[in-house]
Amino acid sequence: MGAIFWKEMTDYLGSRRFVVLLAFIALSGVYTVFVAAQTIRADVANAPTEMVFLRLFTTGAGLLKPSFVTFVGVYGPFIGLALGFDAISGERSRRTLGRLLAQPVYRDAVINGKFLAGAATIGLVFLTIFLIIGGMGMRLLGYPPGFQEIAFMAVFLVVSVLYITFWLGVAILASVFFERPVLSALVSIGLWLFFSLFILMVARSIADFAVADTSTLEQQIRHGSIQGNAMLFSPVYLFREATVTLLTPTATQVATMLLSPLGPYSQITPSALSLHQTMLLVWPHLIALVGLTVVTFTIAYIRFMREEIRT
Amino acid sequence: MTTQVSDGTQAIEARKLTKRYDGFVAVDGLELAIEPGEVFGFLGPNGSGKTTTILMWLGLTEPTMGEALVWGHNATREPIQVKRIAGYVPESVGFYEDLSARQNLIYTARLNHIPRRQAEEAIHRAMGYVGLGEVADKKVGQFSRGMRQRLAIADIMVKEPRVVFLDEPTLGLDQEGVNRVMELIQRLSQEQGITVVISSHQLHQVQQVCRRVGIMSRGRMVALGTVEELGQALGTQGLMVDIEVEGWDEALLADLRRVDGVEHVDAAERFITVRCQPQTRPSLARAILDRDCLLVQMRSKDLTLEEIYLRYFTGGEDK
Ligand SMILES: Nc1ncnc2c1ncn2[C@@H]1O[C@H](COP(=O)(O)OP(=O)(O)O)[C@@H](O)[C@H]1O
Ligand SMILES: [Mg+2]
Repeated sequence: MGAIFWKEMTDYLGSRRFVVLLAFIALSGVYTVFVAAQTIRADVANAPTEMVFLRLFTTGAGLLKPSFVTFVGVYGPFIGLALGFDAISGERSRRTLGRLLAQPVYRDAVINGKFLAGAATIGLVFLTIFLIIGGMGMRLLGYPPGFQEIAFMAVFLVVSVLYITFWLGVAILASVFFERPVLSALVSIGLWLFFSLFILMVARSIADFAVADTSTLEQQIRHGSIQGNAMLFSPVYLFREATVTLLTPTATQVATMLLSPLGPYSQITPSALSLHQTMLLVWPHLIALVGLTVVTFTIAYIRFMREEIRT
Repeated sequence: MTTQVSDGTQAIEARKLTKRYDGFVAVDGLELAIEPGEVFGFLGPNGSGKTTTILMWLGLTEPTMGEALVWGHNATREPIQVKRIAGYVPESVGFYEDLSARQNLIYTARLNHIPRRQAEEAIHRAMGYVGLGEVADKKVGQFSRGMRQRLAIADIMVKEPRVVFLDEPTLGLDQEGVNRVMELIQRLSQEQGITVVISSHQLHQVQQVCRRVGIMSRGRMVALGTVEELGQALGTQGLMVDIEVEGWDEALLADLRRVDGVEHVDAAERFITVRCQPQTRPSLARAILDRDCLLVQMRSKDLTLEEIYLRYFTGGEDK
């Protein structure tokens, strides 16, 4: 599998697609952080003094200037999709799959190697961006992050990589099922739309179905919690909740905040929750995110292992 | 290279090899043994099951029944052992377009765990062998079809295979391209003793290099032997007669079909083609004269391999 991993890794890192992506993400990321720093500095008087570094990631200025977290939540999936959509379909359309599988490698080494190389690439990209942001933050804010802040940032890094790796899995899944890379790209974008937007409707319908009558407060709460739980099947919302908890350590009623009209990051008055406490809160989200990735990849894996290779 | 040979000395074998797709039988109880060093022509029209059989020999498709063996290794149970010693050039082979020819082969070498040094030498040799030494560092995206086909041969040489499977290697090539590829294949077998299976639906392109040919039709092998053997087997049965006739009509064709010993009658423009027993010729001439048609000329020819092949596979289709 080593040979496949390294080939894919060098392919990714050397490809124009990757360079464009990296530039786009790095520039946008830097921009969001820059805006955040300005906002924070303009409001020094009111701002809480703890965990300021984390606010670099969560502070946005309206719809057109989203925070870094929002940016990753919305656009991050495309990194995963871009890396994975032609993983298998590309080999098929170039007609290299048969030749590749006629070499003495186990078939699963091909799909595992591609997946791991993609995940490693995502990790590398995010590590780079986080280092850039860290450096920028020090310059803009004028002091280095504390140990706590570094720890929170590290966990945020891991969550982001896991989140995007899920989308890599989705793209690879599509690439196994569809012969043509274009089709596989379209289908994976469709899945992204579903998990980002339509899941809301689906979750609402499920809740409506379960709690038909919402005249009392109790029923409304039940309705809300069913809807909230249903949305946790979407990695987009898992990521959002996990990062809200992680980066705004006072967020206690995450679910209700998510549904608040002002958006998930609107009620921020940070006061420190310890890393340990926060981890207890986001742990289920991490597990769920990994679980969804495993399920997605396993389906792709099984299908690929059984498939007849004619090209 | 040390690979244990189990029983016998056959390089490639099929035992009751069968593949079904939802009730459709693509390969039907194929029995075949190919000796070490042999160049075998695996012939048959499109859809007769050649590719499917090759995929089973390479462990890329599982047989529904029976066994596909390469040098004694069961391709289904020991695919890795088979792939270590088998080279495969798929039908319309592809490469990574934005890598150079050399980089493509380096990847193959790495997948085969060939040490870097050794791989570089082998690649250099193979590229020279197929006449691509000069363009080794060009991207494959710029290669013509013929160059790709030769690169594919270099690609299988890198792993020093004992057997190679080439699926329709001449497809889409011009005559010169076909000749070059066939010559390379012949040299592979003569100089390195590699066992070769060439599938093709164009008999004349492979017949010079194949010691034996097998003709597939609808998943069954309907004929097997040297080109001469197949010719003789058919020669006793009949020959083809081309007759140039002015003003023939359907009635004449019907008459000819009724003549004793005639197997098949076809007509196009001024020519009528008849497949018949050798002693039938005078009766044909008589039939034509009886209809008051002008017999311009009559020429019989031995069956070419192309015709043998056509005959076998049309015979197969009839069933
Ligand atoms: N996945 C499949 N499902 C159903 N039928 C198939 C499949 N693959 C091949 N076939 C059928 O099997 C037959 C043999 O195909 P193939 O081995 O490719 O023939 P050849 O290589 O001789 O042209 C064809 O009729 C083809 O339609
Ligand atoms: Mg074929």
